[in-house]
Amino acid sequence: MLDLWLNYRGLWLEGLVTTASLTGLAIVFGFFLALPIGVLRAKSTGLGGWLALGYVNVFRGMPLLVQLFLVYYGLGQFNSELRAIGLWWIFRDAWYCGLLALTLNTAAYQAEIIRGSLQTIPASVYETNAALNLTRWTAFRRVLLPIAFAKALPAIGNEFILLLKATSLVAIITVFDLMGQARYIFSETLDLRVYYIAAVHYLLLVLAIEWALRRIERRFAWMA
Amino acid sequence: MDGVTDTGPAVVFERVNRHFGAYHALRDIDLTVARGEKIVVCGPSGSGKSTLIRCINHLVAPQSGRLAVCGIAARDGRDAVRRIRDRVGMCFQHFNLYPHLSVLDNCTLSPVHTYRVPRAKARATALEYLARVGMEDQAGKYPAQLSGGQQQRAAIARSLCMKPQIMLFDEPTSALDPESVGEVLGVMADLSQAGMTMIVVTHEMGFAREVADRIVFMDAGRIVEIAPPDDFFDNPQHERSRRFLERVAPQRATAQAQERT
Repeated sequence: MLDLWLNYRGLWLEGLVTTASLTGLAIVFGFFLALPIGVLRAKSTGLGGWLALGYVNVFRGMPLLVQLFLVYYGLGQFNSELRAIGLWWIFRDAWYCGLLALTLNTAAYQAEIIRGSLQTIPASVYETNAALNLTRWTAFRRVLLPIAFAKALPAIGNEFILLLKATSLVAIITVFDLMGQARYIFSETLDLRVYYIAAVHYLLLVLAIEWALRRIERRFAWMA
Repeated sequence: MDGVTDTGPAVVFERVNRHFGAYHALRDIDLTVARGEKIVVCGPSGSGKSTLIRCINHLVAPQSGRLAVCGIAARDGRDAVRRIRDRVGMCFQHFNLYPHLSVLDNCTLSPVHTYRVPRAKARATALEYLARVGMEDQAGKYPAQLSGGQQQRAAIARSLCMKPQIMLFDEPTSALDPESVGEVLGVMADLSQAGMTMIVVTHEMGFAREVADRIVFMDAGRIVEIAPPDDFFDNPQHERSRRFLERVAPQRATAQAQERT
């Protein structure tokens, strides 16, 4: 099996980098997109709250594969319009389309995680903020957000791992991530063992994420 | 902290009422607290003690009647509540230190971000108050690394950093182990010596007798009795207060009962 890896190590490493960068960028972009959506879900009972709920329902309510198709093939239909507004470079490229769909999708899940952790902040914290005369912004930025983030960390870690494995779907829209490379190498060799090799790569990536999460969570020991 | 010199009573309640749904938590409260006065509020649980002191800094809003704190009533304009809270510090039963901030950062958060005190100055002030409560060498630690008594003393220092004119204490020793109770009560006694206006909800009757100028005894949302501690403990005027004292300080009550006969 080692020969199968060594003979194609350039492709495997390319796939590994593609998968890792898609996952890493999507989780980070998704987090920053999820932040306002999660806050609106937790705090707003007006239009903002409804829009945030709509976002979550749409992107959590459809299979990721369908979203990938809609972004890559669906929006690709509008190529003249997209060219006109200067966004064609995104929708022309499968990698960008993959990143966009993954980001939009994980943002919906992360928004719900953030909403949940904001809502479990006890009333006593809000009372303390009031008694100390903190402004709304200071209370949010310096107190609620750090506490919510610490509470959300295990769930976001879980989402990170789920997202890593979900990225394998981008192979279907022609991205050469780990799964894409595996499919290509299989077509060359017709050797089913390539999928074991792909699986081991995913496993190693998951182990690396778990190791990193453990280190980060240790810094949040005060949360206990 | 806005430089206004305040005179007149610290707190005035006039026929203040508060309901929580069908529950009548405060009934026609009348109470005037003078500057520098130390008030201990006691009474059975559910009697409205916490609601009473939470009204003072508007963690709970009164629904009827008049409540003025340092001459400011909540309806005196949009920022009245904010101006009241500028003048009122509060310590909670469970300390409520921010878990993600060190003791020092807990103390400087509001001065730096709400009051725009330069960080270096806020730190110096915080260390001064931390020294006053005997916590200056714990300034870099996080709340989770401290005992309950240490956390409560840090919380007192955090309130003092706001330079309040009135300090509220909501059962500050109820969540502490017996050994820590003394250190917190000691800090509070020092504070009262320094002339702070203090309103304390507590079950520590020894502290009440020593430090309080007046005891406010509450039951079922009403103030039943207001009296100097010696009168209250040795000669309670109301049947309800007498029964309460028998339960919180049984030996003394029995001894007095025997004296009387």
